[in-house]
Amino acid sequence: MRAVQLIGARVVDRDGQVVGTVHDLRLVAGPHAHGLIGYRLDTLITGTAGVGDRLGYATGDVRGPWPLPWLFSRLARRVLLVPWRDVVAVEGRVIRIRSSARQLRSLRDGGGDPGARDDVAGQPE
Amino acid sequence: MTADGGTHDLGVRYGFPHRLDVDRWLLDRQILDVDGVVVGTVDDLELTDPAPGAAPELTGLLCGPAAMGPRIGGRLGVWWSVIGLRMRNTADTEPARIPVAEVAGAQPSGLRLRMHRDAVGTLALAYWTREKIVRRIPGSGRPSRSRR
Amino acid sequence: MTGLGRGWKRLLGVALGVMTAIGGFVDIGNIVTSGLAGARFGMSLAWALVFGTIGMGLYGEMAGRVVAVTQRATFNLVRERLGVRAGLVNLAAALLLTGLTMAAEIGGAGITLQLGSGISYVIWVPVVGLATWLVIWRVPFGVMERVLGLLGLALVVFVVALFALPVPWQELLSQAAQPAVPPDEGLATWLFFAISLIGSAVVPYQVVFFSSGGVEEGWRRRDLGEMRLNVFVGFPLGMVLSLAIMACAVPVLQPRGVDVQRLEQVGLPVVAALGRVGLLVMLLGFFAATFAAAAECALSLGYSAAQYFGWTWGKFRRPAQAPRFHVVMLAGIIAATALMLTTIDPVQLTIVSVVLGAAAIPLTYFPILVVANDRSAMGRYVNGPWANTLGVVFLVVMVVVSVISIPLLFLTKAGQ
Repeated sequence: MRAVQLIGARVVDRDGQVVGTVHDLRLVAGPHAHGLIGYRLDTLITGTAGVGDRLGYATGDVRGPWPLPWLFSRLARRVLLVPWRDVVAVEGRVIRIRSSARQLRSLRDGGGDPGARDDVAGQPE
Repeated sequence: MTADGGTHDLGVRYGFPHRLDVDRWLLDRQILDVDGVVVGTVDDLELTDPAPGAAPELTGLLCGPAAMGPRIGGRLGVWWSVIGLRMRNTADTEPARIPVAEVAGAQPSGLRLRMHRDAVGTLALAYWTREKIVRRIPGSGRPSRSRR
Repeated sequence: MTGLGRGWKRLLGVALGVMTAIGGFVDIGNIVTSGLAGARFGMSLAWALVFGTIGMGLYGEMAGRVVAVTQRATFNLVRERLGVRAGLVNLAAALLLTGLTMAAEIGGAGITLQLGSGISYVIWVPVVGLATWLVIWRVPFGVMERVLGLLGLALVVFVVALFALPVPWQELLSQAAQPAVPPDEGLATWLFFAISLIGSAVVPYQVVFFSSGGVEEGWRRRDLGEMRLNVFVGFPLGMVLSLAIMACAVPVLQPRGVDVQRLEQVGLPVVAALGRVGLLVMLLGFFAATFAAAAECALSLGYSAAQYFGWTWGKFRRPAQAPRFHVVMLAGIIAATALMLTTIDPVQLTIVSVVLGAAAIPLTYFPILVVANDRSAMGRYVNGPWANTLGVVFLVVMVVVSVISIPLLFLTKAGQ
C-alpha cells in the first residue's frame, strides 16, 4: 500500500457523512522500533484544512508571524483524528469507518503533539 | 564538503520521534546518501497491506517519476509517470524504493541513508540524461573547480 | 601568516564579498527601470526602489539564515511547505519568469556589446548565450562571480556623472521625499512603474540563487555575520547605484522629454557628463551586470527544478554527476537565446518580466517566512518581532501588488 492511496481520500462515517479528507498519516513506533523500522500507521489526520498542518502550525513549532498561528489553530479545531482501527474498508478514494463523526477527537483537544520536542531544533554547531 | 560536493557531517543526526506525522517528517524531504549527496526526494511511502486487525507498517521510501506521478495527480501526473518509466531499461513499473532499514537518521537538510548513491535505485532519469545528453558534450567529466 | 595577516586577509575577503554583492544586485531590470523612471517621473518613484530593496534585504537575510541553520534552500522549502501541487505551480511560474528574465539579460548584454563594438546585436545574442552556458558548464564559477561582480561596480560611473552634471539637488530630494504623480503623467502609469521598480529589486531568481549558493558554500551559523553584511550593506549600496541611474536621467533626459525606449538612452547622461571614457566604463558595467545576471538566472532555473524534484545539483559538481540539473539549464539557455533571436525588444521584455516577477513574489517568499518562524527547524534563530512585522507588512503589500499588476500591465499597455 502507498501513502498516496490514503492521503487525499475522503473519510465517510457509519452514517454516510463525510468526515473530511485525509491530509496526513500519523505513524507510531512499535515496541521494537529503531531508526525508521517498526513504525505502524496509527491515525488518519482528516479535516477540511490541511494547509496549516503542512506548514507546521498544528504542532506549535511555528509560532509566527502574527495572525497565522491563531488562524491555523482555529482551523485545527476542524481537524479530526481517525484511528486506523476504526477503518472498515478502503474503497478507491473513499475510506469507510465504523464510528460516527461526533465520536472522533479533534486535533486541538488531546490530539496531541507528534513528539515535536525531541527533534531537530537548533543543535549546537 | 567532499570533492564531489557531498557533506560528511554524518555526526549531525537525529532520531525520529515516537509519533511521527509523515507529511512533516518524511514526505517531500530530501534523501541524502552516506556522503550527504542528494539522491532524491521522498515522493511517496510504502506500507504493508493492512491485514485484518493489524495496522500497516512503514517499509520503504519511494522516489522518482513513478512515485511522483500519483502525487501530482490528474493527467499531468499520469504523463509524468509514463515519461519516467520510459527512461528505464527494464519493464518494471514499480517506483524506485529505499528500504527503511537504510535510513540512518534525520538531518535538517533531509533523511540520511547508510547506503551509497550508486546502490540507490533512484537515478534512472539521471543516468538517462547523463548518457544521452551530458556525456556527449565535451568537458562533462571534470569538475568546475574553484570555490572561494 | 601572522594573526594580523590572517585578519587582513579575512577583511579583504569580506570586503570582496560585499562589493560582489553590490555589483551583483544590479541587473538589466534595475538599469532599465531606473533609467525609464528617472526620465519620466524624476525622483518621484525613488521610494519604490527603496521599498523593494528593503524587502529583498529582509527576505534575503531570512533565506540566508534558514540556509545557515537548516541547510535547506528556497525550493526545498517550497515543496516541503506548500506541497506537491502548489509547489509545482510555484515551480512552473518560477521557471517561466526566470527564463524570461534570463532572455532579457542576454538581450541587454547583446545590446551593450553592439554599442561597444558596432557589430550587430543578432550576432552577439547567440555568442552571449553560448558564453553563459560555458560559464555554467566549465568555467570556475567562483572566479567568474567575483570578477563580474567587481566589474559591475563600474556602474559607479553614474554616481560620478551625477556630480559632473548640473543636477538640481534640491528638486531631486524634494521629489524623492514627497512623491507625487508628475502633472503630465497618469496615476496608472506611475503605479505601474512603481511596481516595475519594486520588481527589479526583488527579482525571484535572486533569492533562489543566493540561498542555493549558500548551501553550496556550506554556510553555517558562524557565517551569519558575513551573510548579513552582504545583504544589509551590499544590497542597499546596489540600490544606490540604481538611484544614481535614476537621478542622472533627471537633468538630461527629463527636460528633453526623452521617452526611454532603448538601453543607450539610459546611458546618455554619462556620455554627456564624462564623454567617451565614461561611455566605455559604463558599457563595461552594463555588460558585467547583465552577463553575470544571465548566468545567475540559468543557475536559478537548475536550482529550482532540481530542488523541487530532488535531483542532484550544484555548480561545484561535475556535470556528469548532476546531469538533470545541467540539462534543464542548457534547455533554458537555448530557449532564452532563441527568444531573443526573434528580435523581441529587450527593454519591453525587461519591463514585463520584472512586473510579472513582482506578481509572483508572495508565492516564493511565503514558505521562507514560515520556515523562518519554525522553532523546530530554526531553534533560537527564529524570526524576531522586527523580522516578522516587517516581513508580514512587505508580503501583504506584495499581495496587493500581485493583484493590481496584471490589470495595470494591460491598462497601461506595459507602460506606454
